[in-house]
Amino acid sequence: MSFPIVYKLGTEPIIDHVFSSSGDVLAITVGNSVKLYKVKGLSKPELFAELKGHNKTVTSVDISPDGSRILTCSQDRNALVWEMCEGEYKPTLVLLRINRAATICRWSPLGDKFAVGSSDRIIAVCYYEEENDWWVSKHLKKPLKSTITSLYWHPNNVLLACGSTDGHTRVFSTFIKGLDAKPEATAWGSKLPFQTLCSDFVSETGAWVHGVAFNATGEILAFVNHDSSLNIVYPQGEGLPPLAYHLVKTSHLPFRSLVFVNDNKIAAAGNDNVLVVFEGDQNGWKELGPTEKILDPIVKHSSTLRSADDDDDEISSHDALNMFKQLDLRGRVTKTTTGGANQSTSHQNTITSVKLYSLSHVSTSGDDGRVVVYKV
Amino acid sequence: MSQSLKPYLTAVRASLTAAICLEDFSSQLVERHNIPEIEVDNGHNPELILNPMVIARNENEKILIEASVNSVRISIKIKQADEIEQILVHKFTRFLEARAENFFILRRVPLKGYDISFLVTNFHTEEMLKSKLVDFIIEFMEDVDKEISEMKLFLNARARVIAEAYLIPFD
Amino acid sequence: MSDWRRIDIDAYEPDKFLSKEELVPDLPETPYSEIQKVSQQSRTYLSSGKFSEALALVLDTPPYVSDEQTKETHTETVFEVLCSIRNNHQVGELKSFIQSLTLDQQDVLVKYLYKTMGKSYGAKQGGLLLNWFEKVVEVSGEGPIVRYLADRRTV
Repeated sequence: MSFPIVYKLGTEPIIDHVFSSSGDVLAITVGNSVKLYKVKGLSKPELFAELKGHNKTVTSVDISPDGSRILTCSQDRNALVWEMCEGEYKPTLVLLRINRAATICRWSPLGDKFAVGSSDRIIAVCYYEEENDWWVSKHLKKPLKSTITSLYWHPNNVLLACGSTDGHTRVFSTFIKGLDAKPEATAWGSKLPFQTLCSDFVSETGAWVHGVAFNATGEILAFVNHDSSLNIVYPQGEGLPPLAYHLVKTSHLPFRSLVFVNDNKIAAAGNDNVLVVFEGDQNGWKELGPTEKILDPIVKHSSTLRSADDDDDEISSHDALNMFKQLDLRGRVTKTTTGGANQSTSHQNTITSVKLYSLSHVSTSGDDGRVVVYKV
Repeated sequence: MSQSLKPYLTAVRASLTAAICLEDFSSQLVERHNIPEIEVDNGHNPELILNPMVIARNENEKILIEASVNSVRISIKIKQADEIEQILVHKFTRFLEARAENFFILRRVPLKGYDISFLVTNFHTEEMLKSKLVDFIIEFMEDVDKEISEMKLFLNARARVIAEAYLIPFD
Repeated sequence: MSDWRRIDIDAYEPDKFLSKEELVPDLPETPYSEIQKVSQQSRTYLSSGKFSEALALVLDTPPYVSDEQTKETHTETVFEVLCSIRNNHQVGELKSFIQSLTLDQQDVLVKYLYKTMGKSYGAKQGGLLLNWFEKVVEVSGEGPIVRYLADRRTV
């Protein structure tokens, strides 16, 4: 198969997407609902279910590790857990107790709890309460003071990294008595009652954090800010300054999301519509460059590149004006060459989420309604 | 294109490209609302507003770009050398603003001290290609000067014809 | 309480919001005397023709946390250096000056370009500043502009 594989799934923006762990089910957010597709190789994904239950834009979707439950959250302040029941997906409402939009939701690695970030400056950590048959939540509040933009679970099922628009990247403990087994001590801390703030990082610019990620073992934390840079932190232990802190400044537009491909490779993407790969270790990180060629933004406007599958010959109002002017002045029309100039990248608009697809592949979704699988 | 116009437009293009990096962001303040944060002036969410940028070609021609998490406000001051140009610019921008819904990103009222303002939100960038939006604003800036000076020429020519016609009986 | 509709109820929950003061970065304050010293030093460099040294010096010492007057004085110093370099060199030569700067210095340069363009004395020299700006973008792309936008360390 040749990469990148591009799945065109309509024109509406996809804020979040997720592949099931087996890779054959793809869930995307489209407006107020979530669409589920069966994916097989290069062929067009086949729509098999649409989850309609929210009445505002769905902001995030996640599939539980065992693939049986789908979690969605929306700007209508709710999160729903969908389970297959008699051939149909049925939603269960989660008692979030937030009164602003839910911005992001993620299952924990074991799938027995999940976290929902919100504009209410709260992270709700939710778990199933058997006696009430109900998903209940506990709140992480302090010292959050702005919208939560991203969440990422540590593999030990207890630690949770979050990024927010106040520029802080924090690592919290979400230890829930009676549910979690006592976690082993990690570099992030040893004693971990609920709401312990294990670490708090601010990049030098203090810009909004758009994406956070742990590596597979949870020993490295990386985050991207609105200042076009990537930060990588190697923690040393409780109360100690990090072993290493690397900042990679780039000349791209800000990144929105990132993922560890392995311990020495990170893929990030965002407003440049392209996936950028970084490589490094504890001694330093560097940018390997974008996976696809981007046209220089300065010369972009003069290019007349046309992509093969874009055949609408629509002319802009400006071109129309020029056409009439020429008719008026010279009595004939010379065809304008601008218009329809598309970008050379697989994504035509901002990439909103980056996920690991397999050990050497990364999937992305964007505002252009596409899901792309890249080889990195 | 005159010598000093090119760097000006290059700077505006680069600044706009950097500023129009928007996301869907629902209000932290008002429940179930999604408002352009740059237009909310309540002092409660200063972290959502970015540093404003001014690009000036000279004292009379400048552009102000104010960016926030989900919206960018762009205000342009058009060159006005004399009173006729002032009147022409005023009429021209008023004509456009009265038809703002046809221009999607045009703001009905310009920011104080500027002649015309645009408001780009995340919903615009989701629907339209960003490069096209930037092109539109750049083309507008290029054309508005041309348009105004053309109108000024027409106006002067017309005034001359009228004056001549008026003076014929006294010939 | 006739205009109770206009009460800013959100102000009664101050813990929930970030204030402007909290966004000021946690850095030591730069005293005015230090900026004056930098200003004199840069003039010495300029008068002896050490242009790159002067540029590097003023871009290494931006007063991020200090009063308005100090910031303004430093802005004028940077402006002076930029004008002086441009007046003594061709436009094409600016590029080599920018290439000799570190990434951090380039970011600071862009901050000052925007700031001076917003001032009346900068707007008068708009063409000169735009020459600088064009070259920075040529050398390092849009990264420094994005960092200017997002950086809480304002100059």
